[in-house]
Amino acid sequence: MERFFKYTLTVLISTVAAMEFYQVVMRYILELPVMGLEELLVYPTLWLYFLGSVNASREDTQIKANVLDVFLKTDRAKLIVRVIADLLSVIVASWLTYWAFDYFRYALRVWKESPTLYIPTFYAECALFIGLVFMTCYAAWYLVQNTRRLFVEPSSDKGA
Amino acid sequence: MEIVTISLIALAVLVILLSFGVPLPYCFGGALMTMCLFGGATMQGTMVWGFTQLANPVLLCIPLFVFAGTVMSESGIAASLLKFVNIFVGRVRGGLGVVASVSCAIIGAISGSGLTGVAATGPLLIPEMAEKGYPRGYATALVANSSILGLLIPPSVTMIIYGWVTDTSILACFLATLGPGLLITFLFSIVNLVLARRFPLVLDPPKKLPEAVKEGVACTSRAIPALVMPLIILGGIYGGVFTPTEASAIVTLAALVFIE
Repeated sequence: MERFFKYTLTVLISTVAAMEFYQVVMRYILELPVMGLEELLVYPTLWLYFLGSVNASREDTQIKANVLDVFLKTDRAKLIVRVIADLLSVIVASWLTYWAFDYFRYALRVWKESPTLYIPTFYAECALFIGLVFMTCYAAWYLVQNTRRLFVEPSSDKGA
Repeated sequence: MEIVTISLIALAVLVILLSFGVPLPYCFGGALMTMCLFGGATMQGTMVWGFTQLANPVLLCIPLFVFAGTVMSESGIAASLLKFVNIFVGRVRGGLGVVASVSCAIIGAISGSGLTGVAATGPLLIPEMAEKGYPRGYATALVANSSILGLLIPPSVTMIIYGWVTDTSILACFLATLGPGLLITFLFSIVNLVLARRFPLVLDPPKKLPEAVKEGVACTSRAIPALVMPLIILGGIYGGVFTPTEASAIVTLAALVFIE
């Protein structure tokens, strides 16, 4: 899975950069602006955003403030806060996924096409729902893992 | 419920979620959830509007500038940049502090992020400054404070987000913080030169002219890509040659091609 994200995200960001660079060369050097390149750019861009976000959820490296951790002394107290945070994450992620599914159904039903190249925008729009499904799954996975650590593993509560 | 009341409740939810260490996207998702459940905001419309905002090409600047900055800092360009700035101020008392401020400003002008400046210059400069007689706390504070120059000197990720959210011209946002960024770089350098008089600093021994010229040429050639990048970005954007998004793509490709 790590290799998949490593290569996919590299390919996506390189593709996006190469497409923009191509547009600059064509427009300013050759004076032949490429029609519809901005429309094409939306697809790798949105997949880049959501796959990047899924990868951050998988690695558990999403940005967090962790203010309460500063005031907590024991590992167990920190773990309890972590479980609560995971539970809140799962609730919010599930709610967002529900609405992303609603948007997914809307996009599928309307089946919009891009104005110049007539490419269905659904292929970019579905990234929102697919990305959130995986993000919710990873949030639930960390909730299960931390809950198991809290209840199953013996208490090693000797302070931080 | 009144819009002000529901906004305050959503803000409180945001702060609570942040305090618990909930990932940032879900913190804002929680605030949105509060506004929808108690404030009557419609999610159907929000999803369509949100998706349109995400597809805005301006937002693409952020990952590309950060990617370019990361490539450059990982490639060791920061070390060449520090040596380059050190050529001019290395023999001055407090010169290493000036190197910290100017290097953070230049790296900020490539990556648009404050953290990249700290990550690139901190591990190199702080130990060296401590070795040369600067108090470690002072060295750390100087690098940490100089890192904000990355947010002020264009391209700035913060300004891109501000322009995106408020529908303000990104060019205008960049220009607004350019002057303050350069002024703060200058002031940090001056304050550092004044404060450095108190410390028992060890200065580099003077070098013979041919040796100094040889070292200067080597450092300059290695630092050229980092020095040229801000000129490409700002010159291209303000010259009307390309948009900020295109500038970020060019810098990314240049970073991949030119940096070893």
